[in-house]
Amino acid sequence: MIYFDNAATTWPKPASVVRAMDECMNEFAANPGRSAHSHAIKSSEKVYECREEIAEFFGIDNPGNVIFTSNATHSLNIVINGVLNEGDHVICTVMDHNSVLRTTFSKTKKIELSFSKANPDGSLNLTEFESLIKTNTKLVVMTHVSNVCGTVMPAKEVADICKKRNILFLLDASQSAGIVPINITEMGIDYLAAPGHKGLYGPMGTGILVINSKVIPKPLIFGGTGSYSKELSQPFELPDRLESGTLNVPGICGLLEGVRFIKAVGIQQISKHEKELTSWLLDGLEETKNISVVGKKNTVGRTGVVSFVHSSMDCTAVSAYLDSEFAIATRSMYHCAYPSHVALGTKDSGTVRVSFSLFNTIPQVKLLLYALSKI
Amino acid sequence: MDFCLVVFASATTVNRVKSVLLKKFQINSEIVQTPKAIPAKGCSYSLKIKTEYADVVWNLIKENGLSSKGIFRESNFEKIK
Ligand SMILES: Cc1ncc(COP(=O)(O)O)c(C=O)c1O
Repeated sequence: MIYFDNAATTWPKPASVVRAMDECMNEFAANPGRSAHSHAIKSSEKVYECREEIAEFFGIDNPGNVIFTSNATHSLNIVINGVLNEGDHVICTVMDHNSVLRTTFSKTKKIELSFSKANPDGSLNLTEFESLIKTNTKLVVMTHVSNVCGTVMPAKEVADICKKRNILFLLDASQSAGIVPINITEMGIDYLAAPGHKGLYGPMGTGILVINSKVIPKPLIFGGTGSYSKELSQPFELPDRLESGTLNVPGICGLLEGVRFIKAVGIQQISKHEKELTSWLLDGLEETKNISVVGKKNTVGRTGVVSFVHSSMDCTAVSAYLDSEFAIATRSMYHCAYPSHVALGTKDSGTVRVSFSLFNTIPQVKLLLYALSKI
Repeated sequence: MDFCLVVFASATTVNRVKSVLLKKFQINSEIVQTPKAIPAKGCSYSLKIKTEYADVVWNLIKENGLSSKGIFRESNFEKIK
């Protein structure tokens, strides 16, 4: 299988990730932060190591502000549900994923919601964005990179505007964590939500929320934390406040190695590799009959998520053909982000999406281009 | 050897202090369950360290605004901080 569906979840994972999960399951997978026998302590030490690694990776000092969740959607839900109160206004962008759009929309009986528009290449118009701010704007939520066309959004500029206007900023780093360098302290981001299973190379079932704000979201779920057990109210201390229930320790052990893998390879190197593949793909697609690239046509201001349409074959048929004839995995249709397609001009067609990881190669891209030329 | 127990409610905080003690001060410590005789609000973890390092760890806790229920002598659970 040639796997070009890394924006959904990266595959394969580094061998060290698989090994760490196997070792955890076989050797010490006890409940962390609950008991005090040696396996439970080892488990809680591993979980902490991962917090430390992630805190450093995203530029915060306190590993306690790294919250483990089950995916990016879970992390986004914690912040959106936990900081907004009746009468507040929230701004998202049309390039956001349903994990943001549906979560904010579900609250519109009590809060006001505005969408910042996008240009036909998926980029944001900062002036238009800023014009949406009102006196009751409490939160801005924005994807860092479009999961449809790979366009990188102006996260630092939006963070600066939010800081100036005293607005909280939640960055959805689902398509950028591990691919684009992010230091949330330097960039002024209040909350970062990311899956562990995409660019961070951890397993599915892992996600993170990194908090860099004094405004701590109300818990989304309540329950056992292994701490303050005599008290009926949820502890205030992080991460316990937002982490009720048993953690996915085998997943977290895998995620720890995923982050170490990225550090060892270097994020610049990963980004360079994906850019090279993207360049090959974009050049090749331009020369392929009946194919048009959606969004940015060159490698500037984008990552290795590329969408295209075929003029005579629908996107699901293209993906099915690539899978059955060439064992090439792509994703087709709307990618859980329909408003992005309205902005990009693909609301009726959807797109075929190719998305890279460090494990993809130029010969794989060449085979894809060959397969497309044979349609 | 005289040991004491630094009591924390959260498993994350106990791990954080253990990690900083080792990396910054080369002080070894061990995570143990807090004995029931020490008043903590339910389940909790303690860091077992040599009593001579009690001041170092106490300063670390204060400087970083961490939450600890105090430091107790391991032998008789007498509160020393
Ligand atoms: C931009 C964006 N946000 C959020 C998500 C949701 O991620 P998860 O499936 O880990 O909840 C995705 C997943 O594809 C995404 O691309």
